[in-house]
Amino acid sequence: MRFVAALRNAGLPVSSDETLVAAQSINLVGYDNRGQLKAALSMVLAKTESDKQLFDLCFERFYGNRTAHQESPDGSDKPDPNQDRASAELCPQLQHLFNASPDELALAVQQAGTRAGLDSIRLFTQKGVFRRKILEQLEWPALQQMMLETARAAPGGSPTLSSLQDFAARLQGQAREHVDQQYALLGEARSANMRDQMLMQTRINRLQPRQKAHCRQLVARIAKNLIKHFKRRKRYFRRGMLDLHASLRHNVATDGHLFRLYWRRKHRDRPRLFIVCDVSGSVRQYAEVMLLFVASMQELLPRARCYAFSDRLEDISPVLKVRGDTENAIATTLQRVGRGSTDYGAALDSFAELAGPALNRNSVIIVLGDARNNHTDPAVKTFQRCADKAGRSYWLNPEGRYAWNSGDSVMAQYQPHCDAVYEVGTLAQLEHFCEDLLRKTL
Amino acid sequence: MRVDPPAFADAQTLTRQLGDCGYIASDEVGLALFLAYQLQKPLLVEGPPGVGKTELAKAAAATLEQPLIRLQCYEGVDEAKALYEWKYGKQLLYTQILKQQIDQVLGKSEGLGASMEKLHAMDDIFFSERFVEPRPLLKALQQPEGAVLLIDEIDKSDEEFEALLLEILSDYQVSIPEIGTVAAQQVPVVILTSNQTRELSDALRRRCLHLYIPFPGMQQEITILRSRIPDISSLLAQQMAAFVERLRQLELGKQPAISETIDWGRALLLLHADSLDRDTVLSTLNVLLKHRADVDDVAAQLPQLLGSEP
Repeated sequence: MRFVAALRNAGLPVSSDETLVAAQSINLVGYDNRGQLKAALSMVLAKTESDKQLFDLCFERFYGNRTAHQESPDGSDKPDPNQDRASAELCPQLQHLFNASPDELALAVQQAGTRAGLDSIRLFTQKGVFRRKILEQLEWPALQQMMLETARAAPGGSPTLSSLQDFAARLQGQAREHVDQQYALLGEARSANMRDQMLMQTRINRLQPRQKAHCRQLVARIAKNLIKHFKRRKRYFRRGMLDLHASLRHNVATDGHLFRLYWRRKHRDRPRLFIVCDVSGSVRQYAEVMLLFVASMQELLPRARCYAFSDRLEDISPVLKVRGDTENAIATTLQRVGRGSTDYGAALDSFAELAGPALNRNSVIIVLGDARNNHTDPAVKTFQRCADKAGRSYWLNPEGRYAWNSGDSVMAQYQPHCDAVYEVGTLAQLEHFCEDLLRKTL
Repeated sequence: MRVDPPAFADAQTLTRQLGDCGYIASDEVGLALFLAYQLQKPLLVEGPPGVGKTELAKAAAATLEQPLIRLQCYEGVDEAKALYEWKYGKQLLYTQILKQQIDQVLGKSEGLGASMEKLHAMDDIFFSERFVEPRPLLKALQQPEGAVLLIDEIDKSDEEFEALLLEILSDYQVSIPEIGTVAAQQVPVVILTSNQTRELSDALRRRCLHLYIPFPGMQQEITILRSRIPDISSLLAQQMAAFVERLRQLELGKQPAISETIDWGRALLLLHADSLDRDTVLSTLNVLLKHRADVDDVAAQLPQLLGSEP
């Protein structure tokens, strides 16, 4: 079933079992009622609301065209002497096409498309190539030759020529339509996948504004996957030693014979994140994406606190809880805070003051910044004190490793006090870090 | 061989039949139930609270003339609550009553080995089907005439419980270690409902047909109102449906569901209201809206909401 292939391409996970059920339900419902067929297939193949929207789109694209043809009035029934003359001069295949109804023509183009390997279309730049290949399959060169000869024979134009031209235009239009439709079905999703991969590898501060929305979707998807993965993982660690009290209590009914054992549960506190973001001009975009990420993972890390600073530090945790347009809220807040020039020393001092009492071995400090301190005091001692108090501390630097410690960057001074230092320039690197973080702390 | 009841000959007949049972179904709902029955697949129903997901199961049971077996899910629901449990008290009682018999049986045998053998033979008596207390899932499989099994608010249960359901949903059988596998005598119609408070696992979704019931359109709501409250005047039903429709456009803490519209209709009928006016609406708003803030919001906008009435 090519429809299922198209759905899978669009990102719907359709299993082979579901394909079977779909075939059975088509048997039950039949092809007569289009609305009913669509509803039935949608129930069998698309299992969430967002999947249903995708399904609707695919269904319309896949089956939409055919009904359009069936409804269009068939005007080619009337015999036209010019047409007859024109068709008589064509080779058999073209003759057949020339006299074909729109439906037959569509079918012929479709078959030519399959022969030309249209199923493998990936990029929109391939559209032209495939159009030409399809036309070649349909004896297009012969038709052009014919048109040329007719034009030469009657330079002033003739009815035969015009009907030939008309036919050529129809053929071209049909081929274009078919290629467009197939690209929409098969190619678009594939090139979207490719675009995703590119986005993952692009440095975050080079993203164009128009890529932002896409980037946001990507972040949400990655966060969702991580949540799914780590929610399950948590439970492995739970069982502890035998709980004698509870076992005795529950087995009173059996005279204290231990029929059923109860185990102590190891209680693991969830980590508490303290995120400190440098939001001065150079790093702000990274901070935005980072916070978006943390906001998307509220389910796993509900007690995260975050602080933003340029010349002074501010607690911006409420922004994570904003429902709805989180991205905008983050952007405006960061813009407000990020006006001054960076001063890590002052920021760390006020961080120690604000968050210091709350730090314990469950805390995780994450600093996001390029450690470019404008040659002021880096307050390494304060950072060390905080890092010692917290269970873990990480430093994320958006710059490439080659640039660390050059100019006014003081990365080397902070590095010894962190559990690990990551380079987080792209979404892929950010995902890698988050996975590491969750694995170590949950 | 199963004989299909006439109601399940095709989707349209089924939709009509559901209507006769007091459940006004859209074509899609009827089709979903039809497919679930014919393909013997569980039907997962999602939608906002109060659109009649649970009612659908009740109406299906009434249409099929089969018993409705309901399992209400909650956090911590487990095998013992959903599948089966050993009747521990009965086992204990029987061993006490039969103590003498056991003594007699064991008394005559010589040696530890022989006693063990006899005990082994008895062991199976106490772990037989007679001592199994069937819970809803097992009960549904044991019905000789088939049943409608409603697993309500599956999203409230834990993820582990979902995994437990998988065997039942795909093969309609249950494995009890001491007895063996219990297969369904007659495949039940399974309907699962979810309010989307958490994401269900893909494994569960894959095994089910999926139906999303949205809030009804205005016409459908009028039909539902008139079928549920036969005494209501058509003018009032129309006004109510229009008003509720407009309420659902607003940003409310909790949107009024169909069940609440019906309650509201009954309340208005008790107050002998023939049409909506400002005071009646104001005094009965608390039937429709369940948050203080929502009531205040709507009360402030009441003239606009009522003003454009036809």
